[in-house]
Amino acid sequence: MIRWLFKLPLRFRSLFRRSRVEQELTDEFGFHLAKQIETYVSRGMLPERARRTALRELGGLEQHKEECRDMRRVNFIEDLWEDLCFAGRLLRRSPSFTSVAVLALALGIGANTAIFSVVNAVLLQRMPYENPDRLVMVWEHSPRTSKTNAVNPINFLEWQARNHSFERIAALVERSASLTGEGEPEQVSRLIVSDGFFQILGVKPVLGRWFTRQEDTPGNDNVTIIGEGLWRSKYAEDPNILGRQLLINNHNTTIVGVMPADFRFPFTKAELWQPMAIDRATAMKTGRYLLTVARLREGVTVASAQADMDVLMPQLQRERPDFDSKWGITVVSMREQVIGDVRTPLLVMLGAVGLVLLIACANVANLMLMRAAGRSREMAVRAALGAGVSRIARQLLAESALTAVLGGAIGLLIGIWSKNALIAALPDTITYANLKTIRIDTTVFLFTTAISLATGVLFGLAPAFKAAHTNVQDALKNAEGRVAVGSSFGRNALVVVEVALTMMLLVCAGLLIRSFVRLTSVNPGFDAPRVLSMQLSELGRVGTDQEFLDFNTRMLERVRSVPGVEAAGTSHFLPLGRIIPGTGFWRADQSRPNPGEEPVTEVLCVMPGYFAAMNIPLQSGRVFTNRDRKGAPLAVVINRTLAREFFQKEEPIGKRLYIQWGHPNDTYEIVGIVGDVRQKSMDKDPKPGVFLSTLQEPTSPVYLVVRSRGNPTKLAQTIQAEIHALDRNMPISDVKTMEDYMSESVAAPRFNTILLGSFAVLALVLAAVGIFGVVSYSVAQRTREMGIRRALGADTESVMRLVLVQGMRLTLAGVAIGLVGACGLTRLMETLLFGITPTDPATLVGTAALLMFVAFVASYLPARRAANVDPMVALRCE
Amino acid sequence: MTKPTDLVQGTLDLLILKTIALEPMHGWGIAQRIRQVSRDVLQVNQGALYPALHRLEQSGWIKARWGESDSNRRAKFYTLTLGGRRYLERERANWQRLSGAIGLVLETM
Repeated sequence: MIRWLFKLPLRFRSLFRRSRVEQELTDEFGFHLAKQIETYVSRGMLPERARRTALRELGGLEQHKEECRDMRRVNFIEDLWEDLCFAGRLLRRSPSFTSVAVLALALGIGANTAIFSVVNAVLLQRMPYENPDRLVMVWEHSPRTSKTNAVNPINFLEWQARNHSFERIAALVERSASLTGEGEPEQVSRLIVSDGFFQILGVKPVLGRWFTRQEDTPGNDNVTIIGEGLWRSKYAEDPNILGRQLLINNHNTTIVGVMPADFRFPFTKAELWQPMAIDRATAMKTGRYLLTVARLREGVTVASAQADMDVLMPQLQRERPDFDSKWGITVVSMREQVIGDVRTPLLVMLGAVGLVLLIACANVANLMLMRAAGRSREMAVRAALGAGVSRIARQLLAESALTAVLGGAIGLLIGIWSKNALIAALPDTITYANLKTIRIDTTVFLFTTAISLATGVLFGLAPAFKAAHTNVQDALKNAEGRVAVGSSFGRNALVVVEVALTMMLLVCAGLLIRSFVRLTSVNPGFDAPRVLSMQLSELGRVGTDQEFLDFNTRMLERVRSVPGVEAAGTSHFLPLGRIIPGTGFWRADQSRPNPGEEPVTEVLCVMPGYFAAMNIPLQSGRVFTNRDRKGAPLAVVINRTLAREFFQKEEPIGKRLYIQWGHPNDTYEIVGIVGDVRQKSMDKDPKPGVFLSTLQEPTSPVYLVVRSRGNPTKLAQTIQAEIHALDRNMPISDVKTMEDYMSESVAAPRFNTILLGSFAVLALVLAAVGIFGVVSYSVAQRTREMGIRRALGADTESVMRLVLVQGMRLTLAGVAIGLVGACGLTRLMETLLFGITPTDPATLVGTAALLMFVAFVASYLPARRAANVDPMVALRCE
Repeated sequence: MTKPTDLVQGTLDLLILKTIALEPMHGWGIAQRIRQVSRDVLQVNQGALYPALHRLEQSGWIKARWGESDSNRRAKFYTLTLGGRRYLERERANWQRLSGAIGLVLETM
């Protein structure tokens, strides 16, 4: 310990008084030399000879000095600093190498960090609820619906009362809410939840409490729990928020709790929670719209819960055969429910970024190897000047480390930026994770940085080991310093791998792009430009049918009178919203099918003007007018698909249908046929559909659609003012153009396409750099050979061909391997494609051609240089 | 010429410490003295001597000081520190025990 204290000043001296110590070292050896010369002279030697002898005897002066420096152990720190400075200078001096290497690393690290942070939050992390493994969602299903159809309130109550598997089961439904009263009215989403919802998920409020059982009954339900985000933005984190009043859709409610910012239920984006008071007497006997969540009893599996519900459903069918025939129950673990839809795209992205990282690493390795090869002479000079292998290794290490650190730093920036872009582009409701709270995953960042660092270091060190075995003299004699480091096989293999991986990525991206183009060129059946829509969520909740219809009619009259409005109508659902009401129907001139076996049709209730506003073409007959009202004969407009499938060659106009939706015991006369509309989404083929007149079937919610002559968003203010002139407190939400809906409906595929596309471009650039690097290096190596060829009469063309063939051979090998890999890989993304097969020949051929073209350009540049080699210069340079 | 590795490890340190135990000396002097005293048997290579001196200095066994040499040149003189003196005693005792033991083995065989 004492000794260590004693040594400390010496270390400091060595470290911080470097020039002084360095001078002393020179002086000390100088003195030694002088004494030695003096001795020889005193023995009678001529001074010049004495000097030479003494110098020879001393041996490698610089090497001795270096050893002395090594003995002062601070050398390590000193050298490290020196190495870093030197490395910095070197990297600055070759900006192209540096920027390519740093960029390759940064992109690899950044993309991986961002994607993995999101994948981790969405797919891998435990769901942020208490005992999430015991959470399930329970759905209804029938042969005509998906396995996970929403639930009818009465059925939910029966399940709650009669099941043997769940600790608790709760129902929920998402609705919009307009917060009025304080400041500007604000549109947010609220979740209406039945008793037990919070208890099932087990997430504690940050302030206040959950709902109580009493608040689940009608009359006691005027309470609200708000989210932390709203608490911050609207109430500035007021600690006395509990007990305050909040005006939601003009109903006064009391705030009783604040839920943490990252709490959310999958598929919803609610910032408010309100109790759902289901009253058996008044609840909707028909119609299915509830989501449910349940907590399994201890020891009960999803399968046994399913078996339990399978026994229960036949009882309900017997009790309500008209409504529940053919319906069953599906129990799905929450995890499966949530991850199921996003798993494929996210895993494809994860695979893609993994490939990008591999390509980036291969690229950096390649660059390092090439750079090292050009530097064997430098290494030899360093060795001759007394640098040991470890010293040279340290120098190279410093260079690789500096490159990797730079790459990592920029990569982190790219990561943060692309994570935000990624989250912004992801559908908000895909998961239980609150996407806004996703942070950069430090582990992933460090991991990818470490991998790139390791790659850089591993290949950066190759020349050091080579230098250890290189004959210094040979290397020095070699004027061009072109002792190859690492076999050309290794370098070529790296390029082939790069090209193959790039090919795989390009094929995936190509498939997605082609799918996307097909998807967006699909005709949705309506004319989206210049159409504005908005939802009147509370319309129809109060008042009689007649009041509701009067309001609708008067509103449409006012809206149509606004200058710039071409047509206006309403519908109770908008197309491309993923959800569309359906109902059973049958031809009145044919026998009634068995209950539950009726054919299904999409059904929309529309006000006159709807078809004009949406520009849905009329094929034959007529559309609704104000005369299709109560008391008039029931009328129905059908779409082409229904006409084709159920009437084939017959003329449907004038025929009659039974439609279960509104008046199941009356028949509707078909008055018109309109064109097909893709109601659910762009990638789903049109289904049979009927339109009923709202004037005969008052139905809410109400979406107003307005066709304008100019920019529809300019009319939004005026139209809202017109509606508020009729009812000052009418909440209006979702003010959007139909083009917004079009764009939203393809948001997920567009997101996948852009993301994978940019990865592919990235990979293509990296691969091009790789090919360029390898070919240029080999051209530099073969300068003399090229010179000889030229001297022996080879023309420019044949020399160029020689070089090009080398580059293209590597590319071909890579493309071939990549094609095989792509065929395996693309099968995994079949569900993401629309209208093409995973082995779409056009995509495969096109991708291969693109890659070959890029490779050709990348080899052409060095080839031209090779062809321009002056034979005399090339031959003389040895 | 004797390479440092030919000497038993640590022996060069011992020789240097012993040589400067009497008076402060510079590197060249140390090399000459070892050669003279050993009657030209031990010739210390500069390539080994100076790194050894720097190592000993860094370990705190010896101290360096610049001074005037006999020929009025500035030279770096090395002196034994207190710790170095104790270290020398310890190492010398070790060496003697070791060489005595080796001698015993060689004589009895």
